[in-house]
Amino acid sequence: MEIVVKVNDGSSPSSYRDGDIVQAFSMQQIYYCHAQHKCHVRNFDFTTDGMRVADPLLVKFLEKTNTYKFERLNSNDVKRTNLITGEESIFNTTPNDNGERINVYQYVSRRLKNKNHLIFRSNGLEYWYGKSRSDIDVDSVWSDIETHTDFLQSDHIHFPLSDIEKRMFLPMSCCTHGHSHDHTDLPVHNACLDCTCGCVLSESSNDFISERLSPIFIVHDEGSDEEYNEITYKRKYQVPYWDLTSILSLDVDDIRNTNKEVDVRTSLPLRPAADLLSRDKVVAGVV
Amino acid sequence: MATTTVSIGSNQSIDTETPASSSGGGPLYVVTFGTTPSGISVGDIGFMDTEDAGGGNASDYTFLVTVISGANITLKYLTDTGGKGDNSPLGLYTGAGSSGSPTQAPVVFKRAFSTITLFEGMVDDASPTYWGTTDDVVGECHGDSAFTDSRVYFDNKQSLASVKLTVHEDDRHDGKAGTAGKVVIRPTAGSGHNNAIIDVNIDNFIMEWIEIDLGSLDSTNTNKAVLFRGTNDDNIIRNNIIHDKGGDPGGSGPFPIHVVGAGASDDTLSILNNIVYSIIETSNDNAAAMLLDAWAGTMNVYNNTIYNVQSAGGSKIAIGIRAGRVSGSTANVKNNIVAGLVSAASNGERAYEHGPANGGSGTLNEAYNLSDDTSATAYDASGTGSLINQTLSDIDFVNTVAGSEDLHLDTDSVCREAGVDLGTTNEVNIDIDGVDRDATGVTWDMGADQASVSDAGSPAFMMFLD
Repeated sequence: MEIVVKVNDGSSPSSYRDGDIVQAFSMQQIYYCHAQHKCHVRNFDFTTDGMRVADPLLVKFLEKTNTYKFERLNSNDVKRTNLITGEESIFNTTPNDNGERINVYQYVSRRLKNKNHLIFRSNGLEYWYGKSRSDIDVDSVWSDIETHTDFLQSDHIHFPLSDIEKRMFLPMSCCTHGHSHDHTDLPVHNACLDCTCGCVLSESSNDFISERLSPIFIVHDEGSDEEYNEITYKRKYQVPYWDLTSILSLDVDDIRNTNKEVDVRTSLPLRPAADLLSRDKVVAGVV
Repeated sequence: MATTTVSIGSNQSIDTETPASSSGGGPLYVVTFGTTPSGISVGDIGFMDTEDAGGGNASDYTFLVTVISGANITLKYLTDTGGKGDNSPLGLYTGAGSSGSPTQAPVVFKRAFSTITLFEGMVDDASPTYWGTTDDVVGECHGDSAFTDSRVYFDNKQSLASVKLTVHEDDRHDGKAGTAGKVVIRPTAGSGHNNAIIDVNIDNFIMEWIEIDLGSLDSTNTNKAVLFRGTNDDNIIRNNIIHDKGGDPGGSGPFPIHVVGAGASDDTLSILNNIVYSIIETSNDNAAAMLLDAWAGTMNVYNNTIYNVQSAGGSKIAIGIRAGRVSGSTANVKNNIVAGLVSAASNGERAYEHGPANGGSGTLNEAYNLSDDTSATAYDASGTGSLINQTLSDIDFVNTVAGSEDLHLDTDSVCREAGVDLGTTNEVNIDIDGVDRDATGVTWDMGADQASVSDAGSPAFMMFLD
């Protein structure tokens, strides 16, 4: 995973504080972001009749990132195929039991007016894809990209942060260390920050990554529709980078100089342990 | 006050071109290039990796694209890492060549920010390098890839006059979710229960033209897409599409647009021309598309389309729009469509609710709204021009098939020309496709889509026969 850490305190009590983890990305997010660039609709032309060219890479990308394929069968009927289960359903202008109906002529006509449309045509009948999947196999998507282009997944291991962001924040990499030693022993524990202790390294879980972005809050009116969280601090987790200068070879002055770009993201074998790098500000007594 | 636009997107290599000429004085330089840059937009950054002629004294320059006029690109000097100060891009060198024959450095065009969260982090900064401290700041999103921001909290804009989160005109949706190459926020992780994807606690904030796809969050406890916390005077949420929250989010159900703070009695909050659909609770909770009744000021809810809101549990209710609870508040609710409510509770399908169970004590001005035949009678649309008990066939959406929904109005819709002209304040006249109802002189439709067209261009033809 990659994290983006706030540098210097914000000006108000509710602002981000020095060291707060402002943003976090899983490796799947990073790879998928780059995959979307490679498979962006604007990279693919139109056919002479105004349809999108059914480029093999684009079609594979859509089949692996969408839940449904829709195929026009005639002037009125559309077949929806669930690409995960294979289930097929037919729709037309007559509502089904769920109230689902489609005017396919109107639908396709509207889409074709959009220069970024993804309407294809086969044997004179249009087809398209819909509903993004929540379980995209990003490695498989990248396998297709590598098959059809010269791009390599291994060249796309960092989130494309902007130059501004690399000056105003501190980007870092980290991962989960499967400890093969007594990690309660402090010196060895610290060793997991510079990966010299033979741990098995792996990507952190989505839940772990999501938790790094949690705020600190108080719940009001619990159980009612008016229930809400009063956010007292924007982030619960921080990276006390100022305490890690030696072990991570960080220069605090450089990091805090917002006129300098500092980016300490690394490749996987060099990534420090995420659970040691970040700390819960409540548990640590920071707030 | 000045307006500063910055781009937000993940494309950090839009184009690289070499300056050929420069005019104007610092910090604004009108630059032409050997080849005119393509794909760039106002708000993008021009980055230059420079050294003195002949090498040494390195400095990375950052410019902001402020105007694009044909081949003339206006670049505003922002900063340089070497502290050399304001310079024209023309005459900044790579360090290659000799001092007598230096090599002009190219400009690499990139987005200013890669995520909405990091843009917000800069809005929160009291000493912004990239805009003036009292500017109107516009964060303009680009559809380079889906945004995965799951927890953006606009809670402090320092001294900025206003903050707008918008979408570049080429990357706006066409009124339908899932438009390719368009801006969508599709979080891959939950926001946490009762924390929204976009959480707002600042005045003078606009969010527009953004799609929020909650479809990946069915297994998470996310239950809000846009949340107003009380400091929301002159907030406007318009032309957005929010959809597909299923599952059981936990303690309280899905409320994709929710107001939890009262604000002041003279504050105004406007929710205009949005589409919200497929909000489906699956485990014993209420569900509501727009839960707005906590607002103590003026609330304008105009021309929204809401479809398929489902609660779960014998006593749980499904709500389209709830407003007007607070004494002294005024909720203006007009030209909206609410359809497809599902609830197992008696009188549980509530298209329009005046505070909880119609017990609100604020003023509710309702007119020209539509409720369908799923709504309980007590919660039907009311007021002048309203339509009730309409079927889905009467409403005639183009496509309600799950996974491909298109809630534009089809040719036979009763919503066509059934609305009321609401003027142009806060761009309420701009429909979900960008159609200007005011400029085209049409009779307004109900809902977010203006489907009926003007007859102004086809004046009546009169034939006189002798």
